[in-house]
Amino acid sequence: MTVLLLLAPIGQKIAAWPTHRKILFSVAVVVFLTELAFRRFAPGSRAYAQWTRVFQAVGKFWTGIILSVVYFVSVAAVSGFMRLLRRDPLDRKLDREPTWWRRHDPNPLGPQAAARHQF
Amino acid sequence: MPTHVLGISCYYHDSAAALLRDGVVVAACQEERLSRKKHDSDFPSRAVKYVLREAGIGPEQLDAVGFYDKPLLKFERMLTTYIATFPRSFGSFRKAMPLWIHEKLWVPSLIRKELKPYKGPILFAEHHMSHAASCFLVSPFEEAAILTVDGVGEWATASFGVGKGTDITLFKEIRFPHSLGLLYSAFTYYLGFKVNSAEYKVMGLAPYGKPVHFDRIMNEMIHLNEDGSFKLDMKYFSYDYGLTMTNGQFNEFFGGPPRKPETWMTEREFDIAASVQKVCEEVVLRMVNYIHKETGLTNLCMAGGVALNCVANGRVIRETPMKNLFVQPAAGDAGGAVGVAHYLYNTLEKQPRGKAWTHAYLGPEYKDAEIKEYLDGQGAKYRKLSAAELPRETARILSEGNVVGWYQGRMEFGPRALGGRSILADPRDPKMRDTLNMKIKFREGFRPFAPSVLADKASEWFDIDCDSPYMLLVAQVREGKKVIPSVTHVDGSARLQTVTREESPLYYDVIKAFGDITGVPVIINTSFNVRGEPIVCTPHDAYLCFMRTNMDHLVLGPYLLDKKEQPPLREDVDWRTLFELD
Repeated sequence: MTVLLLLAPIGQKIAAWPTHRKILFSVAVVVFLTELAFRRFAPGSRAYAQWTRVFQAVGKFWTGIILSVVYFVSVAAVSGFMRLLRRDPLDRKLDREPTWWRRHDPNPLGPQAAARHQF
Repeated sequence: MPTHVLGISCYYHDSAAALLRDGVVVAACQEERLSRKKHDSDFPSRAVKYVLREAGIGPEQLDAVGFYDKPLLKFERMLTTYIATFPRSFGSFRKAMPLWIHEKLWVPSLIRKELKPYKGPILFAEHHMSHAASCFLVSPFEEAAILTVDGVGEWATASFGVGKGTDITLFKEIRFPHSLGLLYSAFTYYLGFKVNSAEYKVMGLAPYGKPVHFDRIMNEMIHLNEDGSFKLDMKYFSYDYGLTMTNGQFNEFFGGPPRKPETWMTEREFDIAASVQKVCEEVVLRMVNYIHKETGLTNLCMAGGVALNCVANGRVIRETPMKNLFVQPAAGDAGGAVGVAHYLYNTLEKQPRGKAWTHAYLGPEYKDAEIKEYLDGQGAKYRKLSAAELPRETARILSEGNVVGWYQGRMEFGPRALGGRSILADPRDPKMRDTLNMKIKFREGFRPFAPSVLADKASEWFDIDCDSPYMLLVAQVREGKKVIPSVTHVDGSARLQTVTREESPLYYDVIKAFGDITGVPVIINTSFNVRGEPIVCTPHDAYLCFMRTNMDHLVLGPYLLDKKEQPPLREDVDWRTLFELD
């Protein structure tokens, strides 16, 4: 009874939503419950494998979109800035130099501390 | 209490695990051998489990875990490259980022997850430091110059320094995108072979051609200084930004598009292979001469994928002031697992070095009883031979022109089969090369085969005066000894393995017995696999490979199997579809 009383205001809020939001919410709930059901009752089934494949494809699509946005906003901005400064971080210029060996800079942290880090 | 250090290399290619107990390698294994996926780059879960099992410990008993490179520095290099090559790097960015976000940026968490309940430190070494440690700290030298050359690590693509005692100091490096390894891989791609996999085929193809493009490549594609340092003209390459290695300008340079895989090869491909091989040798020779000049040392340790170029290694020994060369058997990225473990134990913890490596038998082994149980389960027909009979009988079978699968003891660590998991044959038969290529290995006809020779007879048969236990040196077959056509390449050379009784008693005895019968103490030794398949690991892998191909006999431990007596193998799938061609 108490739970129902607690859920009542949430139900009222949902009832007040526009129809398209209600549909999206329903789809999300169905997907969530189906995923839980598959995991609980048929984790090794072919149906679950296909279900997973569908959502992996959806994930791949959105990953592509998000990465495209990141690339064409942040990478483009930094790249543009570097070009303005005429800096090539890859040192691709072929100007003649007596040597192209570069000094191996030891990690400033010292070997013991450096080993604890991924950089 | 003994100290256990686990080394791990993964997420690029050839993932592996190695375990040190008090500074001595207890076990080392590439993941591909256990997962059966060639050049497997995934986390080496199976290999880790194996090395722990071999040591008889659980993850909680490890004192330290080392990873063979610095993931964040590598990530920095990738981001910098994307920025520098915007907008052409979009495809590469989209492909690589999900992998980085999903796993490569979370190496410590992934290691902890795989090694539960391990609670100790997870440590990192630079990629080229791992390579340097992998060759110097297991070498027989107290002091040596070190040269590491590969595709790319974090930023470095080549580096040199000095090892003394347990200390290693790297002095200088060449940085991405200027890379000898990637230059070679670019040509591998252009010639229609698989990158990070089939570079050795380019080396094998080279003697068929003439280096007619050498001068043009040296003048236009690579700018090489006398000290071996170089820069590549990146207008010809796309590996820094794209999903391929070469671009339209490269195609124009050689007058056509890359060769399509599995298509016919012509003189053009032979000449291109010969040219890039000569470039590679020239760069390595200049580097080694410079390192000698800088360090004054005559002992050299080499590691990195380019150190597997045994033709270049042979020239280093013959044509530079270096008197002794040590290349460890897993010189590529797999060896990084050994390198980081030794670096942590010897260099950082200042613990004394153990005995130098003299063999590569560091992988799984199966007891005779396990082999017998497996064979009985398959309904296989076999004879058990004594340790005295086995070499004699194997040699007799070989001398009659049969091809023998040879499976003994612990599996080799590294890309070469060295008498643990090998296919053996008679090198005197001129048709044997074609037979092995076409009917056993199912691979390209141009591919040469390597000889195993008794170490004490090596200089009689080959122009070599040092040991080559890991099949990493090429030498000319001596005049008057050209009775081994199947292991003599078109230029009269051979990539040989010298075998001693101390390290491989049974294998040595087979070659000796073969020599007693035929007068030739040399046999063909090629890896026990078919094209695209990792070298066999278990008796099951070996039996399957034996039954699927036209091998005549199989020696599994003390058991000798004759193909004619075996029940037919029943398989649901065509095994040729199981392995992706390299």
